[in-house]
Amino acid sequence: MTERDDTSPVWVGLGRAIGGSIIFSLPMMMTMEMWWIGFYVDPLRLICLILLSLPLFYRISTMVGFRNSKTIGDNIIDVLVSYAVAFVTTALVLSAVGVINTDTDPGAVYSMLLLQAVPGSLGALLARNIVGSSSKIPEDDGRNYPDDLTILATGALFLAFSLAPTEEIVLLSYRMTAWHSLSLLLLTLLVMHAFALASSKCNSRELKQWTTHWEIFVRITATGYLIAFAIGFFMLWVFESIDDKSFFNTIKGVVVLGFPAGVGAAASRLIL
Amino acid sequence: MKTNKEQTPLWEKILGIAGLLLLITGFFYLGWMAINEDDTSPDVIFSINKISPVSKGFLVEVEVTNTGAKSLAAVYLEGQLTDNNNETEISYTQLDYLPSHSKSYAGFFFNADPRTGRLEFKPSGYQEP
Repeated sequence: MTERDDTSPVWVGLGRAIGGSIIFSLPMMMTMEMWWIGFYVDPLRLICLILLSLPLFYRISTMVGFRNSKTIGDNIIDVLVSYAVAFVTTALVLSAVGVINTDTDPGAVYSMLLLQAVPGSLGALLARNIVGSSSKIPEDDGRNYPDDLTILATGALFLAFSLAPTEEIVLLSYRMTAWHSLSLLLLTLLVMHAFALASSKCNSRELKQWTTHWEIFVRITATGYLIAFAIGFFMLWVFESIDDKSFFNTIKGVVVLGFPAGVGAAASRLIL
Repeated sequence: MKTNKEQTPLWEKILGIAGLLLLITGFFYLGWMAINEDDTSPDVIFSINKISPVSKGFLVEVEVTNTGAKSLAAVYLEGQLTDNNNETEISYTQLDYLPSHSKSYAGFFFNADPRTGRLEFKPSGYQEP
């Protein structure tokens, strides 16, 4: 773990937060569906999204964040700062590219910014890892299991958020048969397990043992997929992509989104 | 590694309060929107901004306003030009999206000069977003 950089000027932490926010939310800001979803998103679902993201963001803040926070109060402030930074940054970028203009309903713009600020604040919190020079996430040996689960959820949320609003997820699920879904599910688990192995600290002799694989599979791959599946389902629900769909089509949609969410979850253990 | 000493600088506290206010007002706004759900049907209103001659006929630029509470996708718009001999010319265009209480802009091309006839616009249909 690095020492706290007490002498860093104010703008360094703020700059990191802005940088991280832009990097994380750019794919969403440049996605047509994300502009429109702000206009018709169900307010209660948006409240659920923001409320459920806050505890995760708090947990991330205790692990990363754009500066080394120590106390509970510090971490809460970090989360709030990241949300404010993401809100303003998103407003600036969307105004600069002409998505927000004076002809748009201010209420709809407000909803859009509240929504877009969620991935932006995730980026702001992860800024230390993305644009900063140091990380305070403990290396694999020092991580406890809740840390691992938080990292899995972070990766899953990031990719699920980027892709859930797109029409392609629903279209893909319509094109897929039950066999396609099953194959994709197995492929997702395979890729996730490869990432889980790559990010584990096992030596080659341990990896030859089935018990090691089984343990990693249960602790990381399967749990990661469960988290990715739940987040995928939640994101599709927030974006109203599974409303009025049959149970089978809903499951297929979640399996499709579960692929990027699962890969994101597993890969985040290597990246963060 | 945790200490009880709070180390948050003042600027972060100020920005944090701004973030807190943003979230609280956001929750109130969204909650208020959820409770007072506006069911106004979509209504599309046209107003002509500009008519200009182009290489093949004339261009009519219009401002399209959705005064309803429902956002529309794939909005088909129809413009009809009726000249003094009662001959009509119809032109079509489509807006990808027309949010609630918002404006958008579109253009219709006509062969005849719209300034000499009667222009009428109407929305033909839309999809739920």
